[in-house]
Amino acid sequence: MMIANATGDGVYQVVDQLGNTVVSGLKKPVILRNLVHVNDLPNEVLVTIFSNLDPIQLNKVRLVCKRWDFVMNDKQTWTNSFSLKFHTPRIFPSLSNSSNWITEYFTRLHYLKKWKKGIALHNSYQLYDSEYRSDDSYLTNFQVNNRLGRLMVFSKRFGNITSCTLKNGKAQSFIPGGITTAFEIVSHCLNPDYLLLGKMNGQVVYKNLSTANPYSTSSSTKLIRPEINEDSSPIMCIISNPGASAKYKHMDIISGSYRGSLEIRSLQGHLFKSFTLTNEIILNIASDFKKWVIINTNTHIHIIDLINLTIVKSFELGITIELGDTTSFSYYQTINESKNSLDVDFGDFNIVVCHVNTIKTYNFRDLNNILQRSLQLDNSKTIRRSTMQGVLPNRSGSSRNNNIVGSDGLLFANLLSDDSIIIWNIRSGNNEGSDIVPMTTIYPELNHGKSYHSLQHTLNVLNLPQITSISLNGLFIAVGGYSGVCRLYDVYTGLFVRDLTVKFPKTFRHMYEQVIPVSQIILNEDIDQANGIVVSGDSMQYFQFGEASLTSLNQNPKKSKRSQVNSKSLDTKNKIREQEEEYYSDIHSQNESRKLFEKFNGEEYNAEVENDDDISLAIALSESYHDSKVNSRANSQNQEDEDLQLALELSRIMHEESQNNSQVFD
Amino acid sequence: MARPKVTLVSSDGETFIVEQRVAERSITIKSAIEFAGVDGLTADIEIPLLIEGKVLKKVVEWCEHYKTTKFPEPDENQVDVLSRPPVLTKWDNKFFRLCFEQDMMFEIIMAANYLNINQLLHVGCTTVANMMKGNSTEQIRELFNVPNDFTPEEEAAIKREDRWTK
Repeated sequence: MMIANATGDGVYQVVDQLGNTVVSGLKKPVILRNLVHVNDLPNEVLVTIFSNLDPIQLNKVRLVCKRWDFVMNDKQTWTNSFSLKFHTPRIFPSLSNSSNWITEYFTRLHYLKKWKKGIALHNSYQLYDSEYRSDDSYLTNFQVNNRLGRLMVFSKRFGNITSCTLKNGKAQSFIPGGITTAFEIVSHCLNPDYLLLGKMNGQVVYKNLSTANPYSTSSSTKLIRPEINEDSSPIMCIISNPGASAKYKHMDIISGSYRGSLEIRSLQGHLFKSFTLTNEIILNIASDFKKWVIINTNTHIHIIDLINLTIVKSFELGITIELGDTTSFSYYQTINESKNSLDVDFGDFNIVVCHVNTIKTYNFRDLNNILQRSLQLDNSKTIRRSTMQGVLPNRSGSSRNNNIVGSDGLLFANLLSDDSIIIWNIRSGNNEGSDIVPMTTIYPELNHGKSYHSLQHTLNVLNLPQITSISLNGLFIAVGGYSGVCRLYDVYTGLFVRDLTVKFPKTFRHMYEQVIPVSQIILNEDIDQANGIVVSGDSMQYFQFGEASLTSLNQNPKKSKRSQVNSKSLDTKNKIREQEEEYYSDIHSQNESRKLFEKFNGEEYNAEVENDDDISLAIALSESYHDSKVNSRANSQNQEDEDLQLALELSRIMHEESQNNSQVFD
Repeated sequence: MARPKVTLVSSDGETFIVEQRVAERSITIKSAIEFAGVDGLTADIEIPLLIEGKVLKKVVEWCEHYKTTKFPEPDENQVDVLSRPPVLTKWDNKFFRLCFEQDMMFEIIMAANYLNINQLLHVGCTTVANMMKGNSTEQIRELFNVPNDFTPEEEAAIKREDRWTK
């Protein structure tokens, strides 16, 4: 029996049968019976109790006593606590990349607030080449250009490249294809400085984009891989090192052909090594350009060590890949559409392959023991899109760190043919043969507003899917439908968060008259920026959440007013400069096109002097000239408003400055 | 023939006669019954338990109340599926408030842990956690009668560790 002794001064202590003090320093007398105290509970029960608390509350509770503080350090407590608050599973991607759960907690709260409640800014703009975008590639950089960002679009159909500022679509520039007829291009790879094209006849063409411009195309292209007679099979895929520079001779380009020849080259075209995989068709290549190259052919996966340049492991894919009708005219292009997807998580050695209704992962951490996991969907469902989660910029390329909060998980999403989306974790569980268990399944409902019924009708008649594209980061998944409609869902709960886009302005009439799918959603990998772009047809919509609320919080009011004025006037100056540039380039292109019109519509046409480049340029220019007229009509209203605002801004700044000056004199 | 009954005997000799399905809410008792007869329970069985009579009475009361309810089975292998907090019913709240007033809260939780009644354990833990919510460190100490065994320096050190939470 326990006995409570009063030691005087109103402080009590509990002594056991042998007279040892069990608990001391009590302020209240303890009831004299076989009382079970909270600290008699075993640790795991305490963990269960604390798991029900908010991380903030946990921080208070850990100060109660030493034992509680000790129990609180148990990972399980925080994992469960997080699960209750954010609905995260045991393994999830961290947003703060910290091993401190409280840091993660606040980072998460901050991002959630910013994305959910942040003031939204939307900019809609159109690309002047006005092409219908189906299988184009997009390259974005959110950081450059004083945070205006840069967007590059390569249109595979026409071989053209358009680029503009990401935020508002200003300063557009256009590089016409010219170098090759479009159907010859089987594969391509776009980089800010260059473009690589893999052609039907086995050629690889390098196009320098920093020297290429609308007025000359021939000087900037280079044949990296000439046509080889023995192997003139099409280049099925080509990848390049995103950080490559033409100055150095590094292994920067990897290409794979239909007849299984794989080549590693430098940007200058120097061949480092080639492999031949007989009787195999190379479908996909992935590489971190440091150590690994992963190749997926129609039957196998090969792992190449980039340092020793040897194939270190080859194993069977375990999936049959249907490649379509070999006699078809566009056979090689069809392969690109029907082949499997390949994503590689180099940080944790996971290869993800998705095809028709199978998802398979292969873990190659131990090359002698490849661990496979899979998910087989019903026969009625097929996978339409597969996306790996965007990784925070400071974490891309680094290996998995189990110590950070949530054990550094990595999410993957698949859009299925029944318009549902499954999200699962690549890095959870490496048991051989275990199934992939989807963490979340979402059945998104998009709000197409007034046009809902007519759209549904069209979709039913044409048998088109409701959901056209997805994109995800560690927190949200963006789901796109038609006419720019795009919504944001929580990846853990699958609940609707907010509309990502707003309606396109009325001037974008085609958005309301045609069925235009959202072809691409790009979220900034830096979640803190809370911005991104949604592409539907030839129109883009840039979105940004909560930027304004942040900047106005920091300084004291007087100072901030001053700096605001300064930054505003700087912004205005930039705007003016940008518009000036745009104006001059417009004038220039108009002059050029007029000249060309006169040349080709005029009295004489000398075939010997002219070359193909000029013709294609003329066509492209006439197209863009025509489109820009259409666009300018569409934009004129906005333009006027903006001009007016600029003028107002300027006058206000002048006024304020003069006031400031007069204050100084007073 | 009437279904065989299970008799639970407390540490102080009190007996509780319950249906098999009520007793089998406890995984510990369930495995004891399985151990006794592979072909299932054929005759009445008596199981002695290291739990005080008044606590066992409460536990039996809880099991009787939920004898027809199906609780989701926890699966240790399903790491990807989120663990959801148990939902507290009005009856649960009342039950535990009474337990707390009679100073039996932690004894019930201990018993639930010992008898391996997962749902009761979780509901109990959630109740305790709910009592902690919204209270300061000092208030929690008073509520559960926990002495502060930190030296002021240690306490300050922990506070400093997460000073940015302020």
